[in-house]
Amino acid sequence: MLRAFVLGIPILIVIYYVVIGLLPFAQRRKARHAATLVLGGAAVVLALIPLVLLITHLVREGWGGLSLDFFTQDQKPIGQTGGGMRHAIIGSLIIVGMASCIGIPVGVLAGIYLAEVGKGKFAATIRFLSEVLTGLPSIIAGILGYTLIVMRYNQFSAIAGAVALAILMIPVITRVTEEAILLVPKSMREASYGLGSSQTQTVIKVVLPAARSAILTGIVLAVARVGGETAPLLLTAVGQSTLQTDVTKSMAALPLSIYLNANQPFDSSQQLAVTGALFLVLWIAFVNLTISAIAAKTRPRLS
Amino acid sequence: MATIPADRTPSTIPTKSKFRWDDGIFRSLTTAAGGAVLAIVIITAYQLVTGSLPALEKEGLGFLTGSSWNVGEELFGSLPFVWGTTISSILALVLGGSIGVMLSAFLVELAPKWLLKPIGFLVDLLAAIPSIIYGLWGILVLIPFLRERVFPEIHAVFGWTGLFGEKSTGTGLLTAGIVLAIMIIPTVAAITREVLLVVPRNMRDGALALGANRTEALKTVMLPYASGGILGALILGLGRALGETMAVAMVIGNSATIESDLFKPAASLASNIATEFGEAGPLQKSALIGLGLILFILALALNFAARMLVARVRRKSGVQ
Repeated sequence: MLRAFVLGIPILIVIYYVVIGLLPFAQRRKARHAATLVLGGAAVVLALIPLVLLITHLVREGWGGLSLDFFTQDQKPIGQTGGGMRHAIIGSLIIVGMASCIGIPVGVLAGIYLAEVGKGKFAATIRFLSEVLTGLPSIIAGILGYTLIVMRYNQFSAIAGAVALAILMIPVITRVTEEAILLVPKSMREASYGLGSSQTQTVIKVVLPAARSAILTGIVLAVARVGGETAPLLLTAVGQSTLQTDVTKSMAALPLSIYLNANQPFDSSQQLAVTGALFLVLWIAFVNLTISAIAAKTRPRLS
Repeated sequence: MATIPADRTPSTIPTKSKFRWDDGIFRSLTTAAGGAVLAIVIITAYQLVTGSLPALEKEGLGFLTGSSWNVGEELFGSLPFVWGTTISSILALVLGGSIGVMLSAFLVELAPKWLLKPIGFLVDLLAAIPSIIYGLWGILVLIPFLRERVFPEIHAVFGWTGLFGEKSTGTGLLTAGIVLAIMIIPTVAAITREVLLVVPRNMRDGALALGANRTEALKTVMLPYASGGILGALILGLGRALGETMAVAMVIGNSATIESDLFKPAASLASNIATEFGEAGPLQKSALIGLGLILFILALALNFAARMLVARVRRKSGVQ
């Protein structure tokens, strides 16, 4: 079947050009337009097929495992059936929570700096670097967490993972905050200054409230995104099969547990990985759906 | 308000004359946060260089030119991973980049309006799904499908080129390229959409007024105008593909070899760091950090170039 497909496409292209060549001018233009529409539609379908296949596969294979046990039990010893991902979910919450405590304030303040305070070459450099840093490969953040924290204390730790995730978070939140603040009309600031407010008062009481929903949307998306990161944690928090709440020790995280379980040759481990993946995808779809419902107009772009 | 200097806008420094203690704190705090972004870049570069120094000193230039990565013999040449990264990313760019550009051109200019929102949401979701999930799907669904159904057929038709060998486990460069293609579609589509939207309306309207249909307006006016930005979108997609780690590590097969057969296992810079780092000795770790340094330079250079190109289209249109 695929062979017919592989050979059929060149034949179709030849037929298309022959037909186009034979048609009179006016029809030829219409035919080209129609062909472009078909091509564009095909691109949409091709882009979305993997998404549909992925979600249907995860739902079909993982739905059964999404029981109460999944949320209330830790992983069983490898090879045994049952068990859950309580330890990984809690671990993810702790690591991402710590990363947010570093990443959100720094990112938002840097965004305010770019939009309200900074001028000239220095600010332009920061703006450019923050844009470039959104493309930082996540594994590099992992290396950074390793060399900065793990190597220094000679101990894999959740803190090192949080630092790595914060590094990934900061440029994204900086961009989003700056763009959101720039959307606030200048007249609002002028009114505030006209009443005698300082710049601090203006930003805190006028500008930030006006940009709040856009900034919050961006923060939620950025946090959700680092919540799915695996590579940085592989080098820093490395994972655990039991519940661990000491942040100076290695800790489990949901994406990490999915990866480690997927690499095991046992059905039970694979099942746990698929269920974990389904939970992660549902969670991310939920966050995206909520946000696009709440703030369809203010949604910033992340890439 | 008379104190505003002529060259300043009211939104920046309105009251220079009066000292505000809170503004002093506010400014230093936000400036420090801005400086943190700069610090991240500098610290990353510093850590990567110092971290990779032991391996670089041992291997010298051979680290860049060596084609053999053998941990047992302490041979660390990065070429196999540069090869794996380059080929898988270029495959991704060819497959995913073309789809991303067509998708956005279609959505911006040709598609019915009611399609925009649902498709926009789905493409955003495509971007939000973590790398690890694509990797898992690759192992469970894509690899068996490619191995059983697709690769034998491709071999039968195109095997003579030498690029598509007979025996395949389903993992390899092409599989990684396909997964990466799926992952970079949203990136390419988002930036393409952005640059198409800043093409001045009157140029497009002018083309339509001259009797062009929407396809012709797109091809003759909008795409040429936005071409630099679209190139930027593709480069950005390439940058994403280069640095992608987990999905690649799970489907590329992880073998430090240089083969022209796209069905054979390989390894990329990022995937090799992820898979070897955990059990690596000190010198090997240093060599892996060296791979990270190469990756960092590649990714920054590509992002730099892409942002420049996109910014140029925006400036040309008078946006910001």
